[in-house]
Parts: sequence; C-alpha cells; structure tokens
Amino acid sequence: MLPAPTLAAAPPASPARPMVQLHGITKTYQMGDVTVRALRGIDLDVPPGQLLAIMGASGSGKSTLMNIIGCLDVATSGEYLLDGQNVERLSRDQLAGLRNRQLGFVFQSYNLMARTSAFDNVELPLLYAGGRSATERRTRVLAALAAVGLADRAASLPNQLSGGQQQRVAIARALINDPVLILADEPTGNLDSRTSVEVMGIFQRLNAERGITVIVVTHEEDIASFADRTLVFRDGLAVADTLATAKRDAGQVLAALPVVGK
Amino acid sequence: MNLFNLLKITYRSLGKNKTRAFLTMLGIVIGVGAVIAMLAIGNGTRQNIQQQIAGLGTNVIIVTPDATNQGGVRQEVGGAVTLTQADADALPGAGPAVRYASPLVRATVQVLAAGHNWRTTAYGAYPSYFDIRDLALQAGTRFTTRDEQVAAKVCVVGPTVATALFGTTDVVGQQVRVGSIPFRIVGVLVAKGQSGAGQDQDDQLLAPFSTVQKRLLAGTSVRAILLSAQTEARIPEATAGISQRLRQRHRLAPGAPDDFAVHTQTDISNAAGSVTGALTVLLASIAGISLLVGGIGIMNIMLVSVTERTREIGIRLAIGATGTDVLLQFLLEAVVLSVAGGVLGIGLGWGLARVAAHALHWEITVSPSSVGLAFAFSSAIGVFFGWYPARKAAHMNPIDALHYE
Ligand SMILES: Nc1ncnc2c1ncn2[C@@H]1O[C@H](COP(=O)(O)OP(=O)(O)OP(=O)(O)O)[C@@H](O)[C@H]1O
Ligand SMILES: [Mg+2]
Repeated sequence: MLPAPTLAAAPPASPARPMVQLHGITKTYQMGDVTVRALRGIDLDVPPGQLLAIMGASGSGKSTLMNIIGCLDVATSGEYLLDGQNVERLSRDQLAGLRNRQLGFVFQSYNLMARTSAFDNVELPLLYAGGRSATERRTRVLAALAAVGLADRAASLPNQLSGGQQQRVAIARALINDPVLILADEPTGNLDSRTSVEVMGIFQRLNAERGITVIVVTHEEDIASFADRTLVFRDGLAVADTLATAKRDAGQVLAALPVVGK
Repeated sequence: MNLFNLLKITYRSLGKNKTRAFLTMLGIVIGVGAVIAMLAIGNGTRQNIQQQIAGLGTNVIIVTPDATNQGGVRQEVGGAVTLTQADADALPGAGPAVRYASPLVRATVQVLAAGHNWRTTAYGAYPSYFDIRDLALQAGTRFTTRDEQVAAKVCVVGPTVATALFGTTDVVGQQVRVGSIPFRIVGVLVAKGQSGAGQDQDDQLLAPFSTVQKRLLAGTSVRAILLSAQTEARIPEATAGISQRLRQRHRLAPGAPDDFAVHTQTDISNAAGSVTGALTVLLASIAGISLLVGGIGIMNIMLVSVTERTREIGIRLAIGATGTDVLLQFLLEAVVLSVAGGVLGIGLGWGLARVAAHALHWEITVSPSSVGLAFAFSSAIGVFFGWYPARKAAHMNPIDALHYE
C-alpha cells in the first residue's frame, strides 16, 4: 500500500554543525516535598540527517527530553542549540515559530484536532505559518497526505480513520512546513507490528529523501533497528549510545511480512 | 498569521463545535431578548399612561369629594355628598387663574334607537366641559348654556354609540331614547380610540348637567368638579384659590381637614409616574435575572469545555500557533457568538415587544439604550468567559496544556 521506500545509504555523519546539541540538560519537577529529577545531565549531538532512536525503561526521561528538544517544554538547566541557535534566548513567539517551521512533533496519542478532517488537520500549521495562497496550501496538503499514503482520505475525520491512518495524518501534519527535525515520541506505541513498520518506513523515507533529521522514542528493539543510532536512557541519563551496524530497511521488511487479510 | 487565516481557523472551530456555539448563543439570546422586551413593555406602559393623563385636557384641575374625612365615616369614593352644583358655580369666583368650571355627574344608561339597544355611560356637564377636556366634534354642535338652563333633552354621542345604534356616525338630528326619555342628538365626538385600560373612550354620551341630574339621576350631589386654569403656570394659584373658596363654602374650621380633594394633572401624572416607575423596576428586575441566568449559562458552557479546549490549545501551540494566535481566535469566536446571539436577542426582544403592543393596543417602542445595555452585558459575559480560560491556556507551556486535566 505504501510505495516501497528507496533507501539511499544512510547519510554519513556530516562534519557540519549538529542539528541538535545538548550540554548538561537537566529537568527537575518539584511536587510538594518530592523532587523528581527526570533528566540528570544529558550531553548529546545529533548530526543533521541522522535517524536516532531513543530507548529506555518507563520513567527514564525519554519524553521529557523529547519535549525539551521539541521546544514544548524548557530545561531546568543546561544548554540547547537547535541548528546552531541557542533556544533559551528565544521568546515564546519565536519558539512558536520554531515549532511551526523547523520542527515536527508526532505523539503516541496522535493529538489530531477532533471533528476536523485530515485535510484541515494537516493544513493547520500552514495557516499559522501564513503567507501562502489557498491553492498553494491545497497542493502542499495533498502532497503531504500522498507522501504518507493517504491521498484518498483527505476528507475523513479522525474517528473515521484507523490508528495507523491517524498517525500518518499526524506525520503529514508534522512535515507540512518542511521541518529540519521530526520528533516522534512512541509513534508506534499504539499500533500493531505491521503498521509500526509502515510508519517507520515513512520516517526512513523522509530521512533519506529529504534529509530530515528524525528522533524516535520507542520501547521496541525491532523499531530501533530501523535507526542509524540508538541511545539508551536510564534514570534520566543516557547510558548507552550505539551506531547501527545492521540498519534495517522498512520497505524490505514490509515486503517480507506476510500480508494478513489483504 | 494573517487575519484571513485567523478567520478561517475561527470559522472552522465554530463549525465543529455547533452545540457549544448554539448553547452560548442561546444564553445571550435569552438575556438580551428579555431585557429588551421587558424594558420596552415598561416604557410603553409609562408612555401610555402619561398620554392618557395628557388626554384629560389642558391645565385640568379635578375636585372630588374626599370620602375619608366625613365625620369619621368612611364612604365609597364619589358617593359622598360634599360637592354640589353650587360649589361648581362658585369656583370661577375663586380667582382670575380659574378659567372654566363645570360640575360632572355620571349615569349608566340604556340607549335605544331604530330598534337597537346600547348600554353606555352618560355624563352631565356644562358646555365648558368640552373646552376643559379638549373634546372636539366631528359633526354638529355642543349643547348650549340655554340647553343647560332649560334642561333640554339634547346630547352629544361618541362614535361608538352612534355606530352601535345607527350603523353610521352621521346621526346629528336623530332621536334616541335614554332610558324612557327621548333625546335629540346635536353632535358627534371625534373618535379617540381605546384608553390604556382597554376602555373605549368613544363609548359615551354627553348631555347638559341639569338634564342628566334632574331627568336621569334625580339627586343633588356631583361626582366631581372639573376646572381648567388659565395657563399651566397658574395652576398652583388656581388650586390655592379653589381650596380656599371651598373651605369657606363648606364652613370648615381652621385646622380641620379638607372634605374634598384637589387634583391637578401634574399630581396625577406624578402619582401614575411612581406606579409605572415601580412597574418598570419590576420588569427590569425580571429582565436582569434573565440576563444573569443567560450569563451563568454561557459561563457554564465555557467552563465545562475548558479541559477540552485547553488540550486543543496545547495542540495548536505544539504545531506552532503563538499565544497571540490562540487568544485572537478565542476572542474572535466569543465576539462572533456574542454578536450573533445579541442580534438574534434583539430580534426576539423586538418581536416580544411587538406581540405585547398588539395584545395591549399600546404603542411599545424598543429603546436604543436597553438594546445597548443588554448587548453590552451579555457580550461582556460571552467574551470574558470565552477569553479568560483561553488566556490561561495560551500562557501555559504547550506540554502542560496538552496534558491538562
Ligand atoms: N509534569 C510532570 N510533573 C512531575 N513529574 C513528571 C512530569 N512529567 C514527567 N515527570 C516525571 O519525570 C520522569 C520521566 O518521565 P518521562 O515521561 O520523561 O518518562 P518516559 O521515559 O517518557 O517514560 P515512558 O516510557 O513511560 O513514556 C518520571 O518519573 C515522571 O514521573
Ligand atoms: Mg514517554
């Protein structure tokens, strides 16, 4: 159902400036008397064009870090450079601009606007970005939906779509403004294995064809095996960082999977 | 984000939350409609009563017997015998400020003519009564002083009486029987229509005082004395003269209370004013309560949807809306709902006022200030409760808004 991804050789770790640079990032939550140290000093460089997987036990701080990288939340201390730009110095509106144009976020729970068609959901970031005619927007939205294999479901409402389809609408929404970085927090957490592979295939393709840097949080080794690099978290610290020796191609995996009920 | 995109976003948001939009608007519609209708009815009542009082005549002064002060025996108002024709005749001598004076008696009578039968009220008064009450004739003449002197069997009828008996108002010269006594119609009054109390002012018959008193009533007391002052400015002078003159005639000791009451048009208008004022306050309170209930309705709808809306705002912020984008959207939504609800409410209030006007035969006008007040108040509620939760959410971290419970 998805066009087989044409996977180019994984982009070489470029000597260029990293897409994401984290230095000593911490995050603490104060809950009454209890201090929760969700992140205890993260140092991380993600080169542009990398597909990075983050793994780790529940509560180890993966989502916390993703939210900070995605500019949805701010670190308690530490330095964060996105594409060379120090995020701490930006105003709320400038951060909103970053989220709108440079970043795309994909959530485990999709977070689509209720009672709103796939088309309108995908179009929304374009409306906030401004500066494009209705015709241009239409072309872009349809192209984004086509890129995730949902060209024919533009008019569908979220409750008329399967979980996998909703997640693909969310991915189309995330890439509508040509972001440089896509952040996906357990994007396959609610999906069956076949649909999960399909979703990873989309990320691999966006990564390979458009050079978009992708960070994916997952609990499954299987899913992490589609990444260039895997980071493992424990108790708010990155305890392992490995480059893939045998990165799998989601397109090939999908072709090899038995087709159920089709 | 440009304004057009904002409008698009707002339009879509309203479109997919139709129930909430409808309920919000309903609150505003009810509040605005009630205020406008109630205030219009209150004002209409006041205007109508004032008009009627003005319709009494020009610079009118009315003297009635004061039944409460007759030897400690309380009698029915108007049933007292303290005022006589001689009193009325003496009052032009009460001073130069008094222009006309006429005694007035009243009888309920059965009028017959051309085989038709009509029950009406007959008034007996001097010809000057027409001047005091500003009564104009559409045909014929008034009865004369000579008719008064000889208790002539002549009368002037209202158009309702004429039509009821003859099917036309062209009745000057016709004979009618009042009770068993034949009268000749000498004039027909100009139609005045219904009074505010639903009384037909054209359903009356006027005849010389002496005729009614002697031939129809056979008594000596008068129901009231009607007078008019030379000018409005001289009304106080006239009333003072009248009181003095009557006290003299009734031989009241200094310090004894009057056994009559002098009412001026201003008194009556003031008394009526305080009654209608109270009525307006009552109606305004009802309207105010409706407004409040509508406001609480709006508030509830808005607050109930805060969680849902906060999450929605979280999504919007996550995909790159600025706090300002979100606030403007919510403000615009609230304004659209308030304005739409307000306009519908004005329509509803106006419609109710029209219905009331039709049912009461009054002229009821919707005042612009009530429209403004109702509209401003409900929009303020709509906008505040639409905007305030949004403002809070728009200032949150996107992630906190997304996880809001
Ligand atoms: N808003 C918050 N207030 C207080 N504590 C929080 C908050 N958000 C996260 N935490 C705590 O921070 C720690 C890290 O949470 P985080 O959501 O990052 O874990 P995670 O690695 O994503 O886990 P999972 O795999 O279950 O999603 C946890 O102990 C969590 O309880
Ligand atoms: Mg998590």
